[in-house]
Amino acid sequence: MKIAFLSSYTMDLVAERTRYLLGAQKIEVELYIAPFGQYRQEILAPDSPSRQFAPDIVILAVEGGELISDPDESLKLIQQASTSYPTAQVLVYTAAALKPQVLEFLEWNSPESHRLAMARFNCRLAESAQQTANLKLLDLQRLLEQSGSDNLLDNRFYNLALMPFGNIGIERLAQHLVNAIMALAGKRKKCLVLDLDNTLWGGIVGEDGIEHLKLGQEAGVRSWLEFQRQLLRLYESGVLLAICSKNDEAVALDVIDKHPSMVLRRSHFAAWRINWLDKAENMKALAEELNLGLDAFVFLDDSPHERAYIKSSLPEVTVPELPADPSDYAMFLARLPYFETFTLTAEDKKRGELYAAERTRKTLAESSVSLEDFLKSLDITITLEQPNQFTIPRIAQLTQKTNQLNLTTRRYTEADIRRMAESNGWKILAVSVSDRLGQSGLVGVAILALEDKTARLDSFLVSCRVLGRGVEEALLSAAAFAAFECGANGLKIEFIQTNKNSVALTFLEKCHLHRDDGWYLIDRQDDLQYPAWIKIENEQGPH
Amino acid sequence: MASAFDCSPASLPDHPSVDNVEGWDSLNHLKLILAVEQAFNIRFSTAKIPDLTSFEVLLEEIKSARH
Repeated sequence: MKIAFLSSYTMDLVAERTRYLLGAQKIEVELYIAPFGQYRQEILAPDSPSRQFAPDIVILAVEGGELISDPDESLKLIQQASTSYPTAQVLVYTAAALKPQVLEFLEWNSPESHRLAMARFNCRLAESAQQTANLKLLDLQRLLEQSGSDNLLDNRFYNLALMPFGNIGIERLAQHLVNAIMALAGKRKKCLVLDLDNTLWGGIVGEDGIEHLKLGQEAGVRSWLEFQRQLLRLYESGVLLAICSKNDEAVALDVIDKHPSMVLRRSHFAAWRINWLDKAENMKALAEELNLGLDAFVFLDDSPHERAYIKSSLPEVTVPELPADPSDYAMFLARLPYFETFTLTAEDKKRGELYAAERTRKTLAESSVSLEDFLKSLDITITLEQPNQFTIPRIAQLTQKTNQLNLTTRRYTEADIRRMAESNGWKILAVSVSDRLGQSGLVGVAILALEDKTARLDSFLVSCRVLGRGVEEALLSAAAFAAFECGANGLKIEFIQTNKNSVALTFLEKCHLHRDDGWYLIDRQDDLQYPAWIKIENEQGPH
Repeated sequence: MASAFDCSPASLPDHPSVDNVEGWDSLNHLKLILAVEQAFNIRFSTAKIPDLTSFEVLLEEIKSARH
């Protein structure tokens, strides 16, 4: 990773410390540190050393007073930086006061206020950053508040070398940059696994009983409520929550379902292992159920003994040292870097719901008397979609990513799909699936090549997310019907073997189709059906 | 000193100073001072820092600061 530092003050030691800390995270860094005060030239000169360096990340650190000496100019320059380094993410520190100012109470109470000017500047800067894909802001003021400027700044080094920070400041800024860069590099952890007793609530439910648990608004127990509120915020941002606790499952779930002060409820948890078995085994089981690597997990448990056990048995799991005093839980959570991100996607916001729905489906499947009963109970609806500007990207993506239930594994780009959609020689069918527990989105694609009297099934694929519910059978029937509607007498289907798609062959064989010279065939005489438990709709309504 | 100047301790001359150590530039000088302050829990004044330009001088200062 190439990182360029541009600044109005000396950032060399912060840069070097950042490189060292990233190295510890297995990220090798090459640095370019512009001489201090050179940031304007670096950004504006077309062949400046930093531009030739072609960095992946640019850090721009300009002292607050300097930024607001000409706010319009500064904003223009920062905007220019985003275009000077088009392939980089440009991280800019917001305006913060690094130099002492006399007359504290004039700040905010008079128009001459520096703080006011910096706040106004930062607002404009934020608007600019939110509209610019490769511009991100770093809140220097927050760092100074959290650790205290007295602790971070060192006047001697500012005097001697224009470096505002002492040892602690250098360390703090470097760590902050590492957290930001890890978040940008997509290293966000995916799942937070929580213990229950004395972690999510005060007390041990198995011993104290639900009525005597410490959880609510009263003095001394508010901390767990605050902690849960912040956990909820993580959930809403796409972090999966899971439980790993030594308890009786029914007793524990009773608290989660019924305690009036619980903020987190059953639906907020993607999975749980609440039993008396070994916690490391439980953790592995959770990883398998959620289809995640152990390195995507962060584990919070109030017991130092349990933490140490997981740390030593499962070194890939991140186990932060939860502070001893529950009053500190929420702040500790707020300062964990593992779930930081610069953007929230629509998928992030829905992830929790999707996992909860999947969990419910699995439970239903296990408790249903027969497979057909289970499938009927889901109220599955399949919608036949047309290729349009909204569906084409997803259709292309499915052809590129689906490996298992894929009959021919032909990969197409968006441009390919668009071309086929506009041509009379091709017909593209896509299906999205929903059931009473939620939507699975667009999950299946069939591409027909309309050649003479027999249509050819060029591509047929269904996402493994929805296999086994009748979607693939329905899509095949829909493809055949579409072929007939286009005037063909039959649909010929081929299977091209790969080392991943044996499940596709199994499906095809199960359909008991005619064979002819390597092809599978469906013609008008065949009794095509949709599975009984599935409702088929066009976008316009029932089919 | 070796860690501040990114070299091996063996490569340092017997009496290291700004004059005979190639890596001892102004930035590495600061690194050295920061490291010494942290390791020995002392604090030098601004005026003194630029004068701490050799191993012997530094050693003297550390000793007297610890009394």
